[in-house]
Amino acid sequence: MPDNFLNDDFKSALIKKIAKNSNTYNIIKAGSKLYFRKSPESFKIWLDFLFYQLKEACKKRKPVVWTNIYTPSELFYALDLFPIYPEVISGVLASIGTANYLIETSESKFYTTDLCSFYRVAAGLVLKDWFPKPDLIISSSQLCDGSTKFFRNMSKYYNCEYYLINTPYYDDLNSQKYLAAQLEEIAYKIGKVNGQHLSNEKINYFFNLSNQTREYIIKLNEFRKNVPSPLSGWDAMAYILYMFFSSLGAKKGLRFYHTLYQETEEKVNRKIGVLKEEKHRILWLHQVRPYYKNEIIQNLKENKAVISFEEVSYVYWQALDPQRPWESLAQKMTSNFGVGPIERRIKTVYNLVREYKIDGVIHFSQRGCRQSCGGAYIIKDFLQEKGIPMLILDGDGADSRNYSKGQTRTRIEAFLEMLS
Amino acid sequence: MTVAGLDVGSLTIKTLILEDEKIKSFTIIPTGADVNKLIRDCLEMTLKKSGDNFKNLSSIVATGYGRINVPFADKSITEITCHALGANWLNPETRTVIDIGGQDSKVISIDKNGRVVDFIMNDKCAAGTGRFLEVMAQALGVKTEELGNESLKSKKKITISSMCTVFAESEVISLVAEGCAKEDIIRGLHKAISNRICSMACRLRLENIITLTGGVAKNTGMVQALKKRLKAKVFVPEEPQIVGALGAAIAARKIVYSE
Ligand code: SF4
Repeated sequence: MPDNFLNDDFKSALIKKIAKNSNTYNIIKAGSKLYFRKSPESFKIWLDFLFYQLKEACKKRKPVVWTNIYTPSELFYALDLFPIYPEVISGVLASIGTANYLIETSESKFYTTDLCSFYRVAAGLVLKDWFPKPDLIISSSQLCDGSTKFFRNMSKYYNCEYYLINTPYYDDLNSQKYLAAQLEEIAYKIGKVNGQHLSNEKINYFFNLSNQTREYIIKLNEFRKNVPSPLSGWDAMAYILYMFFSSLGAKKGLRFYHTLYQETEEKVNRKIGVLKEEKHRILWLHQVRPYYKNEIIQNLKENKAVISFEEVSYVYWQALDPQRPWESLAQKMTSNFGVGPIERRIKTVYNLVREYKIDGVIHFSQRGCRQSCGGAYIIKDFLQEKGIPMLILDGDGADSRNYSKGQTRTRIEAFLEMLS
Repeated sequence: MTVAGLDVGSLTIKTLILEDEKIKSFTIIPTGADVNKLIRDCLEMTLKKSGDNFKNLSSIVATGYGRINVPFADKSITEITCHALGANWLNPETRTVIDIGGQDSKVISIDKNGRVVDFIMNDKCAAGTGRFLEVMAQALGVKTEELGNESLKSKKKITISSMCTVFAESEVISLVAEGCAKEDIIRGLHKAISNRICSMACRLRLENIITLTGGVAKNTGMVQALKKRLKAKVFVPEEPQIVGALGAAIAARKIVYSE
């Protein structure tokens, strides 16, 4: 056997072969069903959805579109496209410990360390050719500016069409019209290529699914106002968030949220909290948290603190109107409180603080993410005026090289001591 | 009632014995590989100085980076809370604490009871910390404890533009090569650190009196640079390095009272 039998190139080629074979996901799915047999039903539905997505991304029975989290998934389901979210996949990879290898790969090919690590992982995945190529890329400029450049680069790399949905800053009628026109144009162009005509029937069907799911998320969020907290925000920012972004408009999404709603209802009825003793209720700001192995949740638990809610799970949009599909989707996008003047985000955050009986706010400032870092001090000043302490926790969601166990612990513990 | 406070920092270990309202004894030793043994040794030395023994201690609280590695402590509390308690005890007028420690620097806003209202810490790099000064002292061939007095001799202003420890070290080396006087370089370094600390401090509401704690507060040159930049009433305790351990001892006393 040659010395370099298991060298990096060989391993990478092997992973590539395995990862791009749709049968792999059937096998992993079967294995994980057994492994996670005692996990909650909602978690199993998520696993099912994840492996289904990965399998379909390989099989390509439908055109695969790469996109980002705030581009409405209903659009893809209605157009019979199969959406894949590289930044969300990056979070999953970070949680299983493969992110740093991919980050190093992307950095060796000139991706700067200033780029958000979620996209550096995704770039590594592409460069290693561990993931099936997309047929199309559609992303929005909403909130995340790193993604726009990444996707543009990817469209060149894969030589595939790229549609950028330019999201305006203000939430007004003009912005909605401008966005609606872009969405309609994209749908028209795609329809011409894949022959999918967007009938009223289809729109009705997918919008209905999305609206029903939305109702369950709202009810679930209502439950989360309970003391003790029935659901940990730490979980909500992991597999639940995956569904939040990618399953609206999908049947599996509705099933997932319905199940999660029932599970949470039971906990509320039986007064089962995440912690036996709940001392501090925390609101987490920014849509991500570190996904690699870290001790943050442990630090919180030890000090009887629970993440009662996270801003990313807030349902800010109105139910979709199938009679006005483009305007309605556009409205969903412009009503995102993270877009536009900071006052809008502050107002939402303050409402959440009151509704969820929050004792302290942790703002996770992701390295390389302007959206999360900019404005943090303005929010902090506002909350402080109202007597709500806020900790700005600088960190990294996918790149564990930027995580310092001791320093993070000190910041969190000192903050909780302050709340005591 | 006799209690002990232990501050296990990244560069030094500090232990202190508090009896009622009096600091009976304290010890400061450098950290090393066998931290657990060093913590015990340090406490034993302090107990010996005060003529007490371990069994007489009503409570022990550990703080600092290595606080979780003290199995015999009744509780571990962060250095943020402890510095606040210690500074309040030494000077009840304190409303802001600036602690420049070995591995990090922090600015803490406190109320009249010594409770933390808000705090901010430097990011993960060594810029603006005791470690930064240590590296620079080495590059200049000066002992760390001599930096303060050296800088007071300075007659010429020099600006150090890098704050990254690695870049600043090479900047210092090239300034030496250019023939710049050591004292001027050191003053430049102090100024650079104080600028960095102050810009961090300004993110909080800076209120008088500002108490300086941590090993770096022993450096007179650094204190002068900070005073100049802060334009505020600054209080430097006689032994700024033990404020964390003192705060831990005060917290230990609180535990006994609350039982
Ligand atoms: S963390 Fe920020 S930069 Fe990174 S993907 Fe999310 S929004 Fe974009």
